[in-house]
Amino acid sequence: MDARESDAAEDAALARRVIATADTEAEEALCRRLFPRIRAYGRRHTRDDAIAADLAQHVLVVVLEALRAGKIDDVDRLASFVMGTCRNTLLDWRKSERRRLGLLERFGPSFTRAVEPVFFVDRRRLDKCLAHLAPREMSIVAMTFFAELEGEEISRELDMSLGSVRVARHRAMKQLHECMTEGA
Amino acid sequence: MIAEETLLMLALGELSDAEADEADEHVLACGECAARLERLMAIGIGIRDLVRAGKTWVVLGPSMLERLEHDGLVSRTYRIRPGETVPCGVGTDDVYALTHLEADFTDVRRVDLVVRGTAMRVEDLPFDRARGEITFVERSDHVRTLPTSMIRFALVAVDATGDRTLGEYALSHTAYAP
Repeated sequence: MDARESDAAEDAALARRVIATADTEAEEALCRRLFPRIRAYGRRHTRDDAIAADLAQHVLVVVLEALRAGKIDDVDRLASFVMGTCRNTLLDWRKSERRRLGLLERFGPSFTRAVEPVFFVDRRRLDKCLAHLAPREMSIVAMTFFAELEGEEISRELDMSLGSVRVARHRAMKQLHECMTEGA
Repeated sequence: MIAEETLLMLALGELSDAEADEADEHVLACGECAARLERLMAIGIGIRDLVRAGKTWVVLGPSMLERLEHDGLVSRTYRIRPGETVPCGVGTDDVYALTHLEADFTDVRRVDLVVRGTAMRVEDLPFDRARGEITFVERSDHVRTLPTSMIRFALVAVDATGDRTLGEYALSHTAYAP
């Protein structure tokens, strides 16, 4: 059983406890497990820490509500339900603002203790790690994350093939990830 | 666990919509993958914030320059032709100093920047062959630490036969006085 299957099985077991007995300990544990995953999804889709954290809170409220109401038929596919909720939430975010606040008030206590601090990057360390990148790689990551350029645009501006841009960008991100987590 | 390469592609928006949906669903069911994705995304956000805060030395293309100028981050601009010396300084509120180094890049495949009088050599700089220039921004917090001095440097074309100097440049720097 790989990490995903093991996580999914544990999620499903907790979900069953919530459905069966509205077990608040199980709710808390489930929130603690799902929160960072939803936040990661939110970060990827919004590139904004605050919105990602809000999304995680909102989606957890909806998931708990659905579990308590017995609306999730197949808890073994909980991730599909969570993903659909994430997607719809981002689409309907503004329209659902009022409802979100109401639900937060109603279900908030179950997950407020489960919220982990956001993984903030140590800027000083990142600054040092960036200094070790090759100039071309530094240009590529700056163009990607600051100027928000697509790979094709970067390849045109740096006179490189798209494949070379991607290879260099992957190499840079792996190097930065290693540098940032070294000794962690 | 999802493959590291797939997770990187997900973080960088390189997957097709269908592939991204599949990877997203996996991440939502896998704590380890979510943690790794979140670290990658946080590094991206960190890079954006550092660039925005004026904390990087980076060679630019036109779109990146446009964005920096639009955001009011370019405080001073220097354009230097081969053989020229240009005076430069730095102010309290400066964020980035922008430098254009002009050169003829015909038949050039790789360009290094060599700082004269030091062992510093920055290898393989991106260059704009059509415009005939290399454009980079220097962080002003670094420039504020430099003494009054003449900074001499060269662009060097590198190929199998060795180095060929494309141009010698100099910045006559006046130290920051708060």
